[in-house]
Amino acid sequence: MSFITVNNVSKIYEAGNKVYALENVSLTVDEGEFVAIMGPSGSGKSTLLSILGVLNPPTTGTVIVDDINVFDLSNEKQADFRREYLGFVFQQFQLIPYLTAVENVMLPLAVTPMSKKDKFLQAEKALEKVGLGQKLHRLPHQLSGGEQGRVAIARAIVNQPPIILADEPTGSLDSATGLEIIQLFKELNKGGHTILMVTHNVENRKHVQRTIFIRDGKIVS
Amino acid sequence: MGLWDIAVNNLKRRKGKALLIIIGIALGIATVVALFSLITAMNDKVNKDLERLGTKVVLIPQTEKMSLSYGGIVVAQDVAFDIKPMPENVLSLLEANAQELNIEYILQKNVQVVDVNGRLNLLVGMNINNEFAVKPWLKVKGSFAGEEKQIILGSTIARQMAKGPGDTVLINNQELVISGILEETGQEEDNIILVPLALFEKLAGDNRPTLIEIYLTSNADVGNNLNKLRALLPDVKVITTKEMMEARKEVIERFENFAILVSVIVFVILVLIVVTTMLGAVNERTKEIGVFRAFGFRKKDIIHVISLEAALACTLGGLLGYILGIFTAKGVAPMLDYELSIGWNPVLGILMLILAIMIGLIASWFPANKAAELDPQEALRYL
Ligand SMILES: Nc1ncnc2c1ncn2[C@@H]1O[C@H](COP(=O)(O)OP(=O)(O)OP(=O)(O)O)[C@@H](O)[C@H]1O
Ligand SMILES: [Mg+2]
Repeated sequence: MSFITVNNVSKIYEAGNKVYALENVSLTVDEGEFVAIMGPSGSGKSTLLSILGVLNPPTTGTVIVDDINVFDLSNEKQADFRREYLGFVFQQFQLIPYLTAVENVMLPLAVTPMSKKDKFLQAEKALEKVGLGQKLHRLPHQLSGGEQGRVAIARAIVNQPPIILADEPTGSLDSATGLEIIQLFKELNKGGHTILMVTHNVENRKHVQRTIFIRDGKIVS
Repeated sequence: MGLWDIAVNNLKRRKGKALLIIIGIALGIATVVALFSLITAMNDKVNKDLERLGTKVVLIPQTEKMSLSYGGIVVAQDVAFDIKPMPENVLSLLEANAQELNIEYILQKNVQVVDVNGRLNLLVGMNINNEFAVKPWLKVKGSFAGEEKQIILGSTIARQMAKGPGDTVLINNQELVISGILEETGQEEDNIILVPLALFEKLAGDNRPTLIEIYLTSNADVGNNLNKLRALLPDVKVITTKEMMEARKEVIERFENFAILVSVIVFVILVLIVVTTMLGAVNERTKEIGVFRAFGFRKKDIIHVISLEAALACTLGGLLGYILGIFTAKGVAPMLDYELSIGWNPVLGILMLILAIMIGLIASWFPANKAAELDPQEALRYL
């Protein structure tokens, strides 16, 4: 049994006229894989990632992670699942503007029963891992795009989730900075994290083990 | 870092967003605090005056059938003319025991229903100089015609008869010149005709007191003295009234009702302000809430953060409002006629903080739940 199994997943959005965002998508991902998801705009990449992230229930089909049928879980249990299994890196990183770098990184620990000090130490460690140990107390707008990306990655790994989901993490960065971020993902992957990354950049293909292509909601290869 | 830190940092680092809530709550609470501080001060003042002026006691005959009212008591039943006079020895007994009973003033009142220009009215004989000394708020338009000839009409009677000082009236078929009109008091004096005791005897043919008002000295133990009075005068009804203060208390009470009404309106307006502001904030923070959800916040954690923010902003507003309200009351107090002293009332302060927190929690209930129900995918889709 694979670590992640997506089974015949379809997603139909019914805002006005029906949009078939995903149609009968099946795929498996093994533990420790680094997978890129590519495809034209509107093909359903983000939809697939949000379904893998348990943020968006599929219309039909199942998603099984570590033998857990995630959409069978109650809403609250899904939240617990996300906290335990998943780390997100969003496009434009979505740092909370009124929290400092280290506070942003502590965010996934906010509802974990743990002393403030331990939370801080764990966040500090994650920031050191991404090479940002010196700028703990900067607010997001006081950081460069690349640094914001590092904070976002630190935030995704702070509670040591086995899976990292990244939606176009390099989309807003110049190619050099983007490459640094990809290198960081490669290191994390070596450290044992399973990573699924949506990307537009064909260059990134050479850094990943496998690329899934989507077009019109279907996997084409 | 926990939910608390998120709420605090949001308020601290995005001051503008909470400002409307804080200012709104501060102004609203300040209004309520100022009103209630003034009311408290007025009440204190009245109670102090009550102590200073002593207590008024009214003695009337033991009689059942009475209806026209004077002196806080009912004097004649459906214009029953037969008003029983007091026992003969009451005045002398009172005078003999004045010291022991802590009596400061004894005011004899003779009351009878008389025919005035063909209408029935209440004629009250009294020592007019003493009456005016004890009740400094009584004011007369017109001239003093000398102790014996004075006839003073209550304002309502004067208005009904369209008479003024210098006009004549027929009382029990005797023509008399009105010497003055009482300014409106809003009390029973408006409905009587005041004459000196000697004139009363001439007009009514009776000089026995119908009722006696007694003023006790301010240091008197009222309950004890009343008991002594009742023992001394078993045939007399002993009633205390604090009519002047009560009238003032009534004004304060009306003011208090007004303040309660204002508070309720303020409360509703504040809830509405906080609801709209918070709803706006929640809409603005859709993505942020999606991020929270993605990182494992449960719905109740989202509700927690939003209500915490509202409660914190409202607490701050409440605190500012309390301070502002007390200073406002201190500023306004001298403009009112009373020598009011406004104090820092900690009970009021705590009540206002509770009120502010309640406003925060009630008003954020809907926005917080709305935030919790946001679809996290929807929140993050335009990334
Ligand atoms: N919440 C939604 N409601 C309605 N339609 C949606 C919703 N989310 C996505 N869609 C539609 O589903 C389709 C797939 O969207 P999705 O965001 O998954 O594409 P994408 O591959 O991530 O595109 P891009 O590269 O531009 O980010 C699109 O046609 C989009 O308009
Ligand atoms: Mg997308």
